[in-house]
Amino acid sequence: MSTAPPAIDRAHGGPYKALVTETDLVERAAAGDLDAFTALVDSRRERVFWIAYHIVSDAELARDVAQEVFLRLYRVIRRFRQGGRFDAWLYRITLHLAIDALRKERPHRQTTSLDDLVEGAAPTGEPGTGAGAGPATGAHPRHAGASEGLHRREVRRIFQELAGRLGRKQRAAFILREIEGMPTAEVAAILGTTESTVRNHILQARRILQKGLRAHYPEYIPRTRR
Amino acid sequence: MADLLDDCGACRARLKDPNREFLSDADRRQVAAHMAACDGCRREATAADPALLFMALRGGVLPEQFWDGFDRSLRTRIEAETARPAPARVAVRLATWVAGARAAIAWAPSPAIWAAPAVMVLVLGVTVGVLRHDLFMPGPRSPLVEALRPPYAPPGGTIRPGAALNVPARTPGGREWGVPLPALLSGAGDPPTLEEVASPSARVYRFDATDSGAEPIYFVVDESIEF
Repeated sequence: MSTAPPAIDRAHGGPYKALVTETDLVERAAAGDLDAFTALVDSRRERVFWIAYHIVSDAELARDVAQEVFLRLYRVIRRFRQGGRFDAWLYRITLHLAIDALRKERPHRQTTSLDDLVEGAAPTGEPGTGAGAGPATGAHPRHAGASEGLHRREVRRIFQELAGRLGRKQRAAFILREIEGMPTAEVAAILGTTESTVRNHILQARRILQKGLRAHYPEYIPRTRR
Repeated sequence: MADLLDDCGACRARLKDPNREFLSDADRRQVAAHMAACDGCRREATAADPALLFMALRGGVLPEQFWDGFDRSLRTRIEAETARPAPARVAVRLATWVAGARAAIAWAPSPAIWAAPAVMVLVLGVTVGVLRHDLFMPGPRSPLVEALRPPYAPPGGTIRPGAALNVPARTPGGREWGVPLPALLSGAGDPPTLEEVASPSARVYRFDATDSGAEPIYFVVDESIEF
């Protein structure tokens, strides 16, 4: 995109092309190198945005949260310990700020959705593609063309409603592993807990969501032939 | 495990496994890949576990224009912040501490977890207060109780039914008694004796109706009786 700031180009092919390791980038960013920091931002902003979006369900707000996350990161990156898990640290900041933003927001504000804009959501071959049964008809959203965005928006609205019944950690664990497809170990590092606790959180979350869907949205559950 | 990609039976067996939560990350990826390509498995899996519906929410690739101005705006904010004089060290520490406390509160367990021990402490306190209220009561309510200690109550034991009473002339605070009990008991008329009252710790009040010449009324208060 021609309107993208130069930092993006630098990140992908400029002076930081040779800096392949995350450690190099973090060290330079901690030393005050703004270009290295921008490269870090560019490589992580999409994941940060999506985690925030799954929590706040508003594209504009999630974008603001993402920017706040990176601003906070810049302030504290000097304190990052060598050998620590940078991603887990960053995504933990994201979760905190997204929950904070959600709490501060007015409950009935007009939200902006980007489910119509997203290209190749839930890509093939990755975790998190298990769904696809449309409401009532059972049509696969990939074949639904324009209705795909509508379907995703509806599913997101249902998730937002049912996720309110989950505890904070249950919700975070479900979003990170089941929706974003992160490995269990990474989710455990982000939440500062053990892998078995993460599995337990997800199991509980799954049960609550199943119950809610069966009770209130049975039309979204495909019927199987016996 | 590569057969998971092609084998519907293997994929469904994994999905029906009660220990599905313990699938390795690689297995989960393969199951998800199979379901993405196989409508039948996807429908069956979603029917069995409706929560799989939400897997479709996974973030895709955002259009480039979505990020227009993001880096520039962030850079501007960072440069503006860098240009400002650094806040005092104490202020920075305070702000960090407040932010940490807020995060801790945000991630704290639900209030029910704190409420349960609080209720237990409250119930324990009320129970002790009811059963052992004497622990919290002030000493003897009246020095008379001490003076008229029943013979069966330790210590002392010098007072016996019918024996002379040794009531102090004044209260421990140095004031006069409201009712001169020794005078009452030894005065004219027929006040009840301690035997009649059946308790040496009793206080006897006599009320005379002077004009009518009626019988005096004796009012007995026994503080040794505990309910």
